[in-house]
Amino acid sequence: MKSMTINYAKKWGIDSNLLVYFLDADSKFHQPTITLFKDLLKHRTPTYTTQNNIIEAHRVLVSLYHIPQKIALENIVEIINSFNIHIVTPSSLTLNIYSNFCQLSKKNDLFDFYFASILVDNNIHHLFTNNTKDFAGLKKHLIVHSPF
Amino acid sequence: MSNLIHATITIPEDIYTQARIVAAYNQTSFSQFVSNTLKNGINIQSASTTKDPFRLAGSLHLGVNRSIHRNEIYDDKLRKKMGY
Repeated sequence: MKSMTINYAKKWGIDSNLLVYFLDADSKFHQPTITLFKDLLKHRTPTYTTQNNIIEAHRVLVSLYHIPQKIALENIVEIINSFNIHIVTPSSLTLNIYSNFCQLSKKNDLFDFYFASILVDNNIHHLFTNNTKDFAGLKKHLIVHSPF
Repeated sequence: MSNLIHATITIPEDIYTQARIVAAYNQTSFSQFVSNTLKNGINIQSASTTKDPFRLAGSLHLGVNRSIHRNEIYDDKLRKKMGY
């Protein structure tokens, strides 16, 4: 893990890619993901994801890696349930936050901004992801950490 | 069926209102809805305490050795949807 000190007492978002790496024994990201999940359990860290992330992980498993739909979704949901990952949803304010984020960043990672908006709307300001650069323009609102 | 008891609980008004709506939508009584919801909650709690949370860790062999970006997931679908 990188040297950044992780405050496990905070509410942390879990990005879609970690759900895939958790399942994939052959990924170079698998072991660091398992270590992260062990740490989250040990510290009883409150963890969150969105419905979008579940669909994204589902899409990756089904479309890119040809796992049967039913098995793929069952596996993802089992991770969510096993680790008591809370699923947060957008509200009427999410679009305002999204609009603000779009103005903050020069990049066009709009789906990332929307994901970040849902987290921030639910008072979640920390995120574990493999794609830290995609959230670089939102540093004031979202602290992003890669476990890899 | 188990014996029924009369219980008094205190819950937020918005939760109460939503619960009444969902119970009505599912054409069940409020009591039955609360009972089923509690039962499900107990089952999930029980399952999560008895199952190894790492049971599925490494259960697939895909070899995902690159970052998957969100745009990559959505863009192909959007291109098809918009016809270009």
